[in-house]
Amino acid sequence: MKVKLLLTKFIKTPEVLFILLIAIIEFIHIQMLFGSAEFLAGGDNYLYLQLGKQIPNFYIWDLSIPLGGRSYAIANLFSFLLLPVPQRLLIFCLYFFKYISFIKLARLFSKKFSAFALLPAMFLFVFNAFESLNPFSLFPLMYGVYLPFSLYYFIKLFESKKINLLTISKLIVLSVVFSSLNSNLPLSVTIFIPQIIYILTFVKQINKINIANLVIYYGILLVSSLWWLFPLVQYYFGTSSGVLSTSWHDFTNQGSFFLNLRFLGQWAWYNRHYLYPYYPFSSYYDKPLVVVGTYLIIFLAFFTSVIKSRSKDKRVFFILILALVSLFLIGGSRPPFGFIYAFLYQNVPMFRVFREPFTKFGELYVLSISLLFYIFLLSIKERIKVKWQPLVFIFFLFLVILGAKPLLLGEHVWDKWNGSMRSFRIRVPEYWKEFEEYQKNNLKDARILAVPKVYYGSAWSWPYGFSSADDVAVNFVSNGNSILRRPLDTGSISGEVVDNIYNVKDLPMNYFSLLGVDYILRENDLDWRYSGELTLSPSKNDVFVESLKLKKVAEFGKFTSEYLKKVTNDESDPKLRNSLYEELYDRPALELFKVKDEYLVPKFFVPETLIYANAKVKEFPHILKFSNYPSKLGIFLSDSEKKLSLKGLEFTDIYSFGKRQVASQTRYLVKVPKSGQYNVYIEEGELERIGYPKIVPIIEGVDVISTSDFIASWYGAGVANFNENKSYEVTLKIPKQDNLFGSTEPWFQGKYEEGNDVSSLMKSLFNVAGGVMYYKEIKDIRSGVLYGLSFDYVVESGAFGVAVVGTSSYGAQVLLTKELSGSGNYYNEFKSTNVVEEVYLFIYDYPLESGLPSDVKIENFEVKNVIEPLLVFKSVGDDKQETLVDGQVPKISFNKVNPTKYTLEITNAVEPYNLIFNETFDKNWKLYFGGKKEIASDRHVMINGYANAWFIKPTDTDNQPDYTLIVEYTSQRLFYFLLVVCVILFIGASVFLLWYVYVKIKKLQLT
Amino acid sequence: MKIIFILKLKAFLAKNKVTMLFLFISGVLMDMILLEFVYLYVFFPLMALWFLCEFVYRRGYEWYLKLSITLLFLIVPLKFLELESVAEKISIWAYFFLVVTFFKKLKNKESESKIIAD
Repeated sequence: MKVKLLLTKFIKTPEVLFILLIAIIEFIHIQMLFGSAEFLAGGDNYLYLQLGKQIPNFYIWDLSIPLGGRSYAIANLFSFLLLPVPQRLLIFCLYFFKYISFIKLARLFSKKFSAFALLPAMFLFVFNAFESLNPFSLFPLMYGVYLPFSLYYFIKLFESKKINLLTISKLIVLSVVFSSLNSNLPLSVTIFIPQIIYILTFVKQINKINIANLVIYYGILLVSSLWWLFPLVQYYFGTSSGVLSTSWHDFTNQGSFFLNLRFLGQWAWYNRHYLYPYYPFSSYYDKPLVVVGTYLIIFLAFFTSVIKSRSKDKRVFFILILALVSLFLIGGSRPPFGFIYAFLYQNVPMFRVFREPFTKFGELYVLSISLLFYIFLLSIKERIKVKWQPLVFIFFLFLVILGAKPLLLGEHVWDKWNGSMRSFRIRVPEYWKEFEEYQKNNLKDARILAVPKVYYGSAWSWPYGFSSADDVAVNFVSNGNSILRRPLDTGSISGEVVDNIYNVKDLPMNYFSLLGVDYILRENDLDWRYSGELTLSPSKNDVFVESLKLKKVAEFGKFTSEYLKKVTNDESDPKLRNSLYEELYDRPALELFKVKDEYLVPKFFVPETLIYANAKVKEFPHILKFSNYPSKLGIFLSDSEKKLSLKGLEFTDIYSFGKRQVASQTRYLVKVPKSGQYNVYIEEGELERIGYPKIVPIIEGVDVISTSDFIASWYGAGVANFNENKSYEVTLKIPKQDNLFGSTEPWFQGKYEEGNDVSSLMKSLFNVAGGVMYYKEIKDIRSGVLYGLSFDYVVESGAFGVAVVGTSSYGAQVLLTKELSGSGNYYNEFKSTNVVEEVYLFIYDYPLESGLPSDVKIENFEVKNVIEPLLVFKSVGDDKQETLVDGQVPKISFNKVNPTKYTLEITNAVEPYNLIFNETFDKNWKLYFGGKKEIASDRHVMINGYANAWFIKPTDTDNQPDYTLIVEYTSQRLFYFLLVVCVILFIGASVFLLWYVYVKIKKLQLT
Repeated sequence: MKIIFILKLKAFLAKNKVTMLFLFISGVLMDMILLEFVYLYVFFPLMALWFLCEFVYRRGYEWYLKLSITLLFLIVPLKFLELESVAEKISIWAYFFLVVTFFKKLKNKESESKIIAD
């Protein structure tokens, strides 16, 4: 009864009424944010379409990655994402708890509740220009909730005068609840920045209790985080090492200090794309009143430190430091203080995740300024008379709302048609829901290849619009089915293997077998017009799909004229606009095809034929054109530097591909893995471009004897003997190509003048701001074709820059860039893309210290077609033999226990054989005989460019013909253990908290 | 030897403090007016000059805070006048003096706590 009374009293407190008020405000805000949309989704936030569909994934091997791969986003305990919760409720909760967490933290600075200070400061924290960048993204919103909460409890812990297990428990529970955030490494790291600053600020006041509290907290935090930390570390040191070593777009020097001060500075803030600016509301923030208002808040926030410095409040002091440090971090590598950041960025590999400092550290700055503003408002309230308080309150609230207007009205949610950018306010077409239902009821563990090729940021012709970072199909599969696609360069070895499907013309059907493709999903609603050059239009895709001779099993939706009228299409070019209707009219929206039974290959199989090839991943599909190879095929790939080292294996064919020397377009280097006679073939497609000249390869010290050997699409250049340890230089005498670089047309001059297009291009190409740039158009450049640029140069003093740039309605696209000094002949190659309209060559003489331009002489400019046919050596088949004759091939049946474990029943295994498992190769896949004994670990190799193969000998299996094998991804065992540890700690902390609440209630009842 | 050097330096700086202050202010102004970008080889010598000025003038953290807030206020009119590169430099100096304020205050706090401890 007493508790009930207390509860009633509690509800009537100003704090609770205030929370109710913000709940109402947030309810209205959510309505503004969503409009009439079913979902807010698009870009990197496409995963919202999976809300309520996915079951929790506690497997370290992710089948949704093309061909399977290590999961790096395993931290997925945010269970409400997995339940059928409407997106509106989810976003409401995230915003609501963001308010609550700020209130909690702000109350550290004043025990007295003050709506006067809280409301404007809280609004500033949630609605500002920085927050407008991510109106509904899950991770930034989660971060906005977690950051103040974690900081609040950390300060409580640090200031505790005893071992504070209660606060530690709260911090641990929070860290587990927000563990999803950890799949975004920069955000998960920056959570600790305020904590580190706090410790450093008060390091002199630290005592034994503080140290004990911190050690316990960080110790338990580390142990409870190992379950997601372990796969993440494995990912960064394994699969992603390729991604980290490639060149990333570097945004560390973007923006300016005076803009950062008022929460602006994202690299694209003032940039445009196609018809509109990326942020159409950015101009609002340049209106005089908004400029004054937004700066005034910052001044007042910093001014607070003057007032509060007299009261010696150490927490205010800490917040001031946090503001200064975060401002420094946001500045990235910009001068004058950015040299430290630049050093870290260039020398610490993992620091590259902070390539966009503004977005990564912005929230820290926003939080500190909002808190300083709150403190300012508290002190103002103390200093003014009560009768003036409402007026002052309205003034400051107005000031905050001035900067929050686009966010409050939902203007920051992209809802325009802009080429490949489509509205984020979407409705999922019925035909995708029908497909989802179909695959759920009819397919299981199927690998579905999506065509045409989807690029990062492709758009779909949906009535409201939709664009996505990944193929939209990934959101509509379940039941173990997966989508094979290639939107992103993930650095995974499987990526290039998948990309071959879209890159290689006339691909034989057994390549699909090699990838274990069961179905092909044709997405006719994918808008090819604004995608990459390999995305085929529906009519071109007809040719591709028909050539595969597939069986259509289902189709979904139909593009009727009524339906097409609803599809947004604001293209200004009438021809391009109408092509959408011409291509789509009367077509099904989605078509599902089944691969013919003869090309279906199970997940585990024994290859009927083995091939060895010295070839790159992007070359080896061509091997399939040379012979009528079976679908159960094993191709060992090795580059020319490695020798044939697979002892005990017999190969049906051996191939070696010529390595073209880029400096010269007709020279190749070839090494063969085994001595013998080889047929030499030249790719005919490339020769077709220059009118089929008769080419005889010139190989030093080798006589090439012509043959009458015929293979479709290949020009048989002859046969010759080659030794295995020798590198052969092959020259193809290809007729000279026309020079596309006009010698009579004049060069144009572009002077640097602030604001013009030439100047911004000059800045981005040559990193200069001054002088003159010379340019000239290169005519007749076609997309996807390789061109070679060459010239002679002599630089007497200084240096010069050269760049080839394509222009399009999307902006400039750099195709080649180089800085040169000294003298010589320059040669390099470039490829244009399908969006490029005109191509220009730019030359810039860098200024000397005297201010004069460099002394440079350049002549004999040439731009020519590069003819780069593939050159293939194929072993002459006298000693051909099948890997295993009929009757010797073991029979395999398998059962999928889970994505990381399979049991295999093998029968009739009397001879050594290769077992292929067509998931991405990983050394952690292990083979066990008799449940425990690991076998063939030293004979576990990569095959077919991505898959796992074990060469199994009868001795491995105690010479038994019939037995059971287990294929297991062993890292999963450690993961299970770490997950159990985490769950125990989480339950322990939760029980402790509940017990504490129970005791408190009991005490209340007694009093 | 060191003490003699410091004393001599201090005397020299005290003698030329107006010149140094003039050099510092005119340097900052010329940097703002003449140079469009922030150059380290201009900024750091100016910073060193400020350091020398500070050696003889010695101002408290409140003075620096007021200075930085004043500089921050200047950004708004400069933005309206579209003098963005000047606004950028002003904001950098404002930030720099805010950091100086912080260190001065830190020093102040330490000496305060020392007095209390004594």
